Amino acid sequence: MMSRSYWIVAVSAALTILYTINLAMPKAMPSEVVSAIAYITILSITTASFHQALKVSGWGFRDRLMRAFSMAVIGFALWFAAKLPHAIYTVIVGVEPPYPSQIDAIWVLGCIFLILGLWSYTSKFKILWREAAEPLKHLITLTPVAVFFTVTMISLAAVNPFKLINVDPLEASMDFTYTILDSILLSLAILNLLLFRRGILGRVWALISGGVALGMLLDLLSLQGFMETWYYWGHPVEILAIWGFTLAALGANLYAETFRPSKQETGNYASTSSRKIKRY
Amino acid sequence: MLLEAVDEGLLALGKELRHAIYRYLEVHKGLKREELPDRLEDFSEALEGIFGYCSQFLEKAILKRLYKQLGLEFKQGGGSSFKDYVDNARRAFERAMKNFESDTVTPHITRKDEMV
Repeated sequence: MMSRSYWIVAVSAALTILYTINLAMPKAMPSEVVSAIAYITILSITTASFHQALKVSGWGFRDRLMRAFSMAVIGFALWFAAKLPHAIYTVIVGVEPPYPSQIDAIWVLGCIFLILGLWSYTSKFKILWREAAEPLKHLITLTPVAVFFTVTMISLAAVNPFKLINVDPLEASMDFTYTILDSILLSLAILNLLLFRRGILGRVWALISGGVALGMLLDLLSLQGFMETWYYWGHPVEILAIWGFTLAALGANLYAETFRPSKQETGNYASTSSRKIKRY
Repeated sequence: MLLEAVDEGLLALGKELRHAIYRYLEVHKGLKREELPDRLEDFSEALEGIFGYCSQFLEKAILKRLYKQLGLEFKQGGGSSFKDYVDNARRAFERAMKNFESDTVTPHITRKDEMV
Protein backbone atom coordinates (compact mmCIF):
# COMPACT_ATOMS: atom_id res chain seq x y z
CA MET A 1 0.00 0.00 0.00
CA MET A 2 1.28 3.46 -0.88
CA SER A 3 2.47 5.42 2.13
CA ARG A 4 0.45 8.46 3.17
CA SER A 5 3.49 10.69 2.57
CA TYR A 6 3.66 9.63 -1.09
CA TRP A 7 -0.03 10.44 -1.48
CA ILE A 8 0.52 13.90 -0.03
CA VAL A 9 3.43 14.57 -2.42
CA ALA A 10 1.41 13.17 -5.36
CA VAL A 11 -1.56 15.45 -4.60
CA SER A 12 0.75 18.47 -4.26
CA ALA A 13 2.43 17.59 -7.55
CA ALA A 14 -1.02 17.40 -9.18
CA LEU A 15 -1.89 20.83 -7.78
CA THR A 16 1.41 22.19 -9.12
CA ILE A 17 0.53 20.81 -12.57
CA LEU A 18 -2.88 22.49 -12.27
CA TYR A 19 -1.19 25.87 -11.75
CA THR A 20 1.14 25.19 -14.69
CA ILE A 21 -1.77 24.26 -16.97
CA ASN A 22 -3.60 27.40 -15.86
CA LEU A 23 -0.55 29.47 -16.73
CA ALA A 24 -0.28 27.85 -20.16
CA MET A 25 -4.03 27.95 -20.87
CA PRO A 26 -5.50 30.81 -18.81
CA LYS A 27 -8.90 30.53 -20.48
CA ALA A 28 -9.40 26.87 -19.57
CA MET A 29 -10.25 27.68 -15.97
CA PRO A 30 -10.38 30.96 -14.02
CA SER A 31 -7.21 31.35 -11.95
CA GLU A 32 -9.31 32.09 -8.80
CA VAL A 33 -10.86 28.63 -9.12
CA VAL A 34 -7.42 27.02 -9.41
CA SER A 35 -6.32 28.89 -6.28
CA ALA A 36 -9.49 27.88 -4.41
CA ILE A 37 -9.14 24.18 -5.35
CA ALA A 38 -5.44 24.14 -4.45
CA TYR A 39 -5.76 25.84 -1.07
CA ILE A 40 -8.84 23.90 0.03
CA THR A 41 -7.22 20.59 -0.95
CA ILE A 42 -3.84 21.23 0.64
CA LEU A 43 -5.29 22.75 3.81
CA SER A 44 -7.58 19.77 4.32
CA ILE A 45 -4.57 17.44 3.86
CA THR A 46 -2.46 19.45 6.30
CA THR A 47 -5.24 19.59 8.90
CA ALA A 48 -5.80 15.84 8.55
CA SER A 49 -2.04 15.16 8.91
CA PHE A 50 -1.81 17.19 12.10
CA HIS A 51 -4.90 15.39 13.33
CA GLN A 52 -3.02 12.11 12.83
CA ALA A 53 -0.11 13.53 14.85
CA LEU A 54 -2.57 14.64 17.52
CA LYS A 55 -3.61 11.01 18.03
CA VAL A 56 -0.16 10.26 19.52
CA SER A 57 -0.75 12.50 22.52
CA GLY A 58 -4.54 12.68 22.40
CA TRP A 59 -6.90 15.60 22.19
CA GLY A 60 -7.00 18.00 25.13
CA PHE A 61 -5.42 20.91 26.94
CA ARG A 62 -4.24 19.42 30.25
CA ASP A 63 -0.78 18.48 29.00
CA ARG A 64 1.55 20.72 26.97
CA LEU A 65 1.99 18.16 24.22
CA MET A 66 -1.77 17.65 23.94
CA ARG A 67 -2.21 21.41 23.89
CA ALA A 68 0.48 21.77 21.19
CA PHE A 69 -1.14 19.41 18.71
CA SER A 70 -4.72 20.38 19.62
CA MET A 71 -3.88 24.02 18.96
CA ALA A 72 -2.09 23.13 15.72
CA VAL A 73 -5.17 21.26 14.52
CA ILE A 74 -7.43 24.18 15.56
CA GLY A 75 -5.06 26.60 13.79
CA PHE A 76 -5.09 24.69 10.51
CA ALA A 77 -8.86 24.11 10.81
CA LEU A 78 -9.30 27.89 11.20
CA TRP A 79 -7.15 28.49 8.11
CA PHE A 80 -9.30 25.97 6.28
CA ALA A 81 -12.42 27.71 7.63
CA ALA A 82 -11.05 31.06 6.40
CA LYS A 83 -10.14 29.76 2.97
CA LEU A 84 -13.47 28.04 2.35
CA PRO A 85 -15.72 31.17 2.37
CA HIS A 86 -12.92 33.01 0.54
CA ALA A 87 -13.00 30.38 -2.22
CA ILE A 88 -16.81 30.24 -2.37
CA TYR A 89 -17.05 34.05 -2.54
CA THR A 90 -14.37 34.23 -5.25
CA VAL A 91 -15.94 31.49 -7.38
CA ILE A 92 -19.54 32.82 -7.07
CA VAL A 93 -18.87 36.57 -7.29
CA GLY A 94 -15.92 36.23 -9.65
CA VAL A 95 -13.71 38.65 -7.71
CA GLU A 96 -11.71 38.26 -4.54
CA PRO A 97 -13.32 39.31 -1.24
CA PRO A 98 -12.22 42.71 0.07
CA TYR A 99 -8.92 42.84 1.92
CA PRO A 100 -8.79 42.98 4.89
CA SER A 101 -12.06 41.35 5.87
CA GLN A 102 -13.50 39.01 8.53
CA ILE A 103 -11.78 36.20 6.64
CA ASP A 104 -8.41 37.72 7.50
CA ALA A 105 -9.45 37.89 11.14
CA ILE A 106 -10.09 34.11 11.08
CA TRP A 107 -6.74 33.58 9.31
CA VAL A 108 -4.89 35.66 11.93
CA LEU A 109 -6.69 33.76 14.72
CA GLY A 110 -5.53 30.49 13.13
CA CYS A 111 -2.01 31.84 13.05
CA ILE A 112 -2.20 32.74 16.75
CA PHE A 113 -3.37 29.20 17.59
CA LEU A 114 -0.44 27.78 15.60
CA ILE A 115 2.02 30.02 17.45
CA LEU A 116 0.54 29.01 20.82
CA GLY A 117 0.72 25.37 19.78
CA LEU A 118 4.34 25.73 18.73
CA TRP A 119 5.16 27.51 21.97
CA SER A 120 3.45 24.74 24.00
CA TYR A 121 5.57 22.15 22.19
CA THR A 122 8.78 24.13 22.71
CA SER A 123 8.08 24.72 26.39
CA LYS A 124 7.33 21.02 26.84
CA PHE A 125 11.00 20.39 26.25
CA LYS A 126 12.12 23.29 28.44
CA ILE A 127 12.78 20.77 31.20
CA LEU A 128 15.54 19.34 29.02
CA TRP A 129 17.19 22.72 28.37
CA ARG A 130 17.62 23.08 32.12
CA GLU A 131 20.09 20.23 31.87
CA ALA A 132 22.16 22.14 29.31
CA ALA A 133 25.35 23.98 30.26
CA GLU A 134 24.90 27.65 31.20
CA PRO A 135 26.10 29.35 27.96
CA LEU A 136 24.12 26.89 25.83
CA LYS A 137 20.99 27.51 27.89
CA HIS A 138 21.19 31.24 27.11
CA LEU A 139 21.97 30.52 23.48
CA ILE A 140 18.83 28.37 23.20
CA THR A 141 16.73 31.18 24.70
CA LEU A 142 18.31 33.86 22.52
CA THR A 143 18.11 31.95 19.24
CA PRO A 144 14.37 32.47 18.56
CA VAL A 145 14.66 36.15 19.54
CA ALA A 146 17.61 36.66 17.18
CA VAL A 147 15.87 34.75 14.37
CA PHE A 148 12.69 36.78 14.90
CA PHE A 149 14.44 40.15 14.67
CA THR A 150 16.61 39.10 11.73
CA VAL A 151 13.73 37.65 9.72
CA THR A 152 11.42 40.60 10.55
CA MET A 153 14.06 43.16 9.58
CA ILE A 154 14.92 41.38 6.33
CA SER A 155 11.20 41.02 5.49
CA LEU A 156 10.45 44.66 6.20
CA ALA A 157 13.52 45.75 4.24
CA ALA A 158 12.50 43.59 1.28
CA VAL A 159 8.81 44.43 1.34
CA ASN A 160 7.77 47.49 3.28
CA PRO A 161 4.04 47.29 4.06
CA PHE A 162 4.17 50.80 5.51
CA LYS A 163 4.46 52.22 2.01
CA LEU A 164 0.68 52.02 1.93
CA ILE A 165 0.12 53.51 5.37
CA ASN A 166 -1.21 56.82 4.01
CA VAL A 167 -3.30 55.19 1.29
CA ASP A 168 -4.86 52.37 3.31
CA PRO A 169 -3.76 52.20 6.96
CA LEU A 170 -5.87 49.10 7.67
CA GLU A 171 -4.33 47.15 4.80
CA ALA A 172 -0.82 48.25 5.79
CA SER A 173 -1.44 47.18 9.40
CA MET A 174 -2.76 43.80 8.27
CA ASP A 175 0.29 43.28 6.02
CA PHE A 176 2.55 44.16 8.94
CA THR A 177 0.63 41.76 11.23
CA TYR A 178 1.10 38.92 8.75
CA THR A 179 4.84 39.64 8.54
CA ILE A 180 5.23 39.63 12.33
CA LEU A 181 3.16 36.46 12.82
CA ASP A 182 5.11 34.67 10.08
CA SER A 183 8.40 35.71 11.74
CA ILE A 184 7.27 34.38 15.14
CA LEU A 185 6.18 31.07 13.57
CA LEU A 186 9.49 30.72 11.74
CA SER A 187 11.58 31.58 14.84
CA LEU A 188 9.86 28.93 16.97
CA ALA A 189 10.07 26.31 14.23
CA ILE A 190 13.79 26.99 13.74
CA LEU A 191 14.38 26.76 17.50
CA ASN A 192 12.86 23.26 17.51
CA LEU A 193 14.86 22.36 14.42
CA LEU A 194 18.09 23.32 16.24
CA LEU A 195 17.15 21.50 19.42
CA PHE A 196 16.27 18.23 17.76
CA ARG A 197 18.76 18.29 14.87
CA ARG A 198 20.07 14.88 13.78
CA GLY A 199 17.03 13.05 15.23
CA ILE A 200 13.64 12.10 13.82
CA LEU A 201 12.14 15.09 15.59
CA GLY A 202 14.82 17.17 13.88
CA ARG A 203 13.57 15.92 10.51
CA VAL A 204 9.99 16.69 11.57
CA TRP A 205 10.98 20.23 12.49
CA ALA A 206 13.12 20.67 9.38
CA LEU A 207 10.03 19.88 7.29
CA ILE A 208 7.80 22.18 9.37
CA SER A 209 10.40 24.99 9.36
CA GLY A 210 10.78 24.61 5.59
CA GLY A 211 7.01 24.78 5.25
CA VAL A 212 6.77 27.93 7.36
CA ALA A 213 9.67 29.52 5.43
CA LEU A 214 7.96 28.84 2.08
CA GLY A 215 4.66 30.19 3.44
CA MET A 216 6.42 33.31 4.63
CA LEU A 217 8.16 33.75 1.29
CA LEU A 218 4.80 33.57 -0.46
CA ASP A 219 3.30 36.11 1.96
CA LEU A 220 6.17 38.52 1.22
CA LEU A 221 5.96 37.98 -2.54
CA SER A 222 2.20 38.42 -2.55
CA LEU A 223 2.48 41.62 -0.49
CA GLN A 224 5.02 42.92 -2.98
CA GLY A 225 2.87 41.63 -5.85
CA PHE A 226 -0.25 43.40 -4.58
CA MET A 227 1.67 46.67 -4.26
CA GLU A 228 3.14 46.30 -7.74
CA THR A 229 -0.19 44.95 -9.05
CA TRP A 230 1.24 41.81 -10.68
CA TYR A 231 -0.19 39.38 -8.15
CA TYR A 232 -3.61 37.76 -8.59
CA TRP A 233 -5.31 34.80 -6.93
CA GLY A 234 -4.11 31.72 -8.72
CA HIS A 235 -0.73 33.23 -9.62
CA PRO A 236 1.86 30.42 -9.95
CA VAL A 237 3.82 31.92 -7.05
CA GLU A 238 1.16 30.29 -4.84
CA ILE A 239 2.90 26.98 -5.55
CA LEU A 240 5.29 28.08 -2.78
CA ALA A 241 2.44 27.98 -0.27
CA ILE A 242 1.16 24.66 -1.62
CA TRP A 243 4.60 23.08 -1.03
CA GLY A 244 4.91 24.91 2.27
CA PHE A 245 1.72 23.25 3.51
CA THR A 246 2.92 19.99 1.96
CA LEU A 247 6.18 20.08 3.94
CA ALA A 248 4.27 20.83 7.16
CA ALA A 249 1.89 17.93 6.42
CA LEU A 250 4.85 15.62 5.75
CA GLY A 251 6.41 16.68 9.06
CA ALA A 252 3.21 15.91 10.96
CA ASN A 253 2.90 12.64 9.09
CA LEU A 254 6.46 11.61 9.95
CA TYR A 255 5.75 12.35 13.62
CA ALA A 256 2.53 10.30 13.52
CA GLU A 257 4.18 7.39 11.68
CA THR A 258 7.12 7.33 14.11
CA PHE A 259 5.14 7.27 17.31
CA ARG A 260 2.07 5.32 16.23
CA PRO A 261 2.37 1.68 15.19
CA SER A 262 1.22 0.81 11.69
CA LYS A 263 -1.94 -1.26 11.22
CA GLN A 264 0.09 -4.43 10.74
CA GLU A 265 2.21 -3.70 13.78
CA THR A 266 -0.87 -2.87 15.79
CA GLY A 267 -2.13 -6.38 15.12
CA ASN A 268 1.09 -8.14 16.17
CA TYR A 269 1.80 -5.67 18.87
CA ALA A 270 -1.65 -5.91 20.39
CA SER A 271 -1.48 -9.68 20.43
CA THR A 272 2.03 -10.00 21.83
CA SER A 273 3.03 -7.22 24.08
CA SER A 274 0.58 -4.38 24.37
CA ARG A 275 -0.53 -5.68 27.73
CA LYS A 276 3.07 -5.72 28.94
CA ILE A 277 3.87 -2.26 27.64
CA LYS A 278 0.69 -0.59 28.88
CA ARG A 279 1.33 2.77 30.44
CA TYR A 280 4.11 2.42 32.96
CA MET B 1 16.64 1.21 39.74
CA LEU B 2 17.84 2.17 36.27
CA LEU B 3 14.40 1.40 34.89
CA GLU B 4 12.85 3.63 37.55
CA ALA B 5 15.28 6.41 36.64
CA VAL B 6 14.49 6.01 32.93
CA ASP B 7 10.76 6.03 33.71
CA GLU B 8 11.09 9.17 35.79
CA GLY B 9 13.43 10.85 33.31
CA LEU B 10 11.10 10.22 30.39
CA LEU B 11 8.10 11.24 32.50
CA ALA B 12 9.43 14.78 32.25
CA LEU B 13 8.07 14.67 28.70
CA GLY B 14 4.64 13.51 29.85
CA LYS B 15 2.96 10.11 30.13
CA GLU B 16 1.76 10.06 26.52
CA LEU B 17 5.14 10.81 25.00
CA ARG B 18 6.87 8.38 27.34
CA HIS B 19 4.43 5.69 26.29
CA ALA B 20 5.01 6.61 22.63
CA ILE B 21 8.80 6.41 23.12
CA TYR B 22 8.61 2.94 24.71
CA ARG B 23 6.33 1.83 21.89
CA TYR B 24 8.76 3.27 19.31
CA LEU B 25 11.70 1.48 20.95
CA GLU B 26 9.86 -1.83 20.94
CA VAL B 27 8.24 -1.61 17.51
CA HIS B 28 11.02 0.10 15.54
CA LYS B 29 14.16 -0.92 17.44
CA GLY B 30 13.10 -4.24 18.96
CA LEU B 31 14.08 -2.90 22.36
CA LYS B 32 11.75 -3.77 25.21
CA ARG B 33 11.68 -1.68 28.36
CA GLU B 34 12.87 -4.62 30.47
CA GLU B 35 15.92 -5.04 28.21
CA LEU B 36 17.14 -1.45 28.62
CA PRO B 37 19.65 -2.15 31.43
CA ASP B 38 21.39 -4.75 29.24
CA ARG B 39 21.20 -2.71 26.05
CA LEU B 40 22.23 0.73 27.19
CA GLU B 41 24.11 1.61 24.01
CA ASP B 42 21.10 0.69 21.87
CA PHE B 43 18.87 2.75 24.16
CA SER B 44 21.22 5.73 23.95
CA GLU B 45 21.42 5.44 20.16
CA ALA B 46 17.63 5.16 19.89
CA LEU B 47 17.16 8.26 22.04
CA GLU B 48 19.56 10.17 19.80
CA GLY B 49 17.69 8.82 16.81
CA ILE B 50 14.49 10.39 18.12
CA PHE B 51 15.59 13.54 19.92
CA GLY B 52 18.88 14.27 18.15
CA TYR B 53 20.90 16.92 19.91
CA CYS B 54 18.34 17.12 22.73
CA SER B 55 18.90 13.47 23.69
CA GLN B 56 22.00 14.38 25.73
CA PHE B 57 19.84 16.52 28.02
CA LEU B 58 17.34 13.70 28.40
CA GLU B 59 20.14 11.24 29.24
CA LYS B 60 21.50 13.71 31.77
CA ALA B 61 18.06 13.96 33.41
CA ILE B 62 17.89 10.15 33.64
CA LEU B 63 21.43 9.89 35.02
CA LYS B 64 20.80 12.57 37.64
CA ARG B 65 17.81 10.60 38.87
CA LEU B 66 19.76 7.34 38.90
CA TYR B 67 22.66 8.84 40.85
CA LYS B 68 20.24 10.44 43.31
CA GLN B 69 18.46 7.13 43.88
CA LEU B 70 21.80 5.47 44.58
CA GLY B 71 22.83 8.27 46.92
CA LEU B 72 25.71 9.23 44.64
CA GLU B 73 26.81 12.62 43.44
CA PHE B 74 26.43 13.15 39.70
CA LYS B 75 29.42 14.90 38.16
CA GLN B 76 29.51 15.46 34.46
CA GLY B 77 32.84 14.76 32.75
CA GLY B 78 33.54 15.32 29.10
CA GLY B 79 33.45 12.47 26.65
CA SER B 80 31.69 9.83 28.75
CA SER B 81 28.80 7.97 27.21
CA PHE B 82 25.46 7.16 28.86
CA LYS B 83 26.64 3.57 29.36
CA ASP B 84 29.89 4.76 31.00
CA TYR B 85 27.96 6.84 33.50
CA VAL B 86 25.66 3.93 34.34
CA ASP B 87 28.66 1.57 34.70
CA ASN B 88 30.41 4.10 36.93
CA ALA B 89 27.30 4.38 39.09
CA ARG B 90 27.06 0.59 39.27
CA ARG B 91 30.69 0.30 40.38
CA ALA B 92 30.46 3.16 42.88
CA PHE B 93 27.33 1.68 44.38
CA GLU B 94 28.90 -1.77 44.66
CA ARG B 95 31.97 -0.27 46.32
CA ALA B 96 29.77 1.65 48.76
CA MET B 97 27.82 -1.52 49.56
CA LYS B 98 31.03 -3.48 50.17
CA ASN B 99 32.30 -0.80 52.55
CA PHE B 100 28.95 -0.73 54.27
CA GLU B 101 28.98 -4.52 54.71
CA SER B 102 32.55 -4.61 56.05
CA ASP B 103 31.84 -1.73 58.46
CA THR B 104 28.66 -3.34 59.78
CA VAL B 105 28.63 -6.49 61.92
CA THR B 106 25.27 -7.61 60.62
CA PRO B 107 24.36 -5.97 57.37
CA HIS B 108 20.68 -5.13 57.24
CA ILE B 109 20.53 -4.09 53.64
CA THR B 110 21.83 -6.00 50.68
CA ARG B 111 20.64 -4.08 47.71
CA LYS B 112 22.92 -5.73 45.20
CA ASP B 113 20.08 -7.87 43.95
CA GLU B 114 18.01 -4.81 43.32
CA MET B 115 20.74 -3.33 41.22
CA VAL B 116 20.19 -2.57 37.60
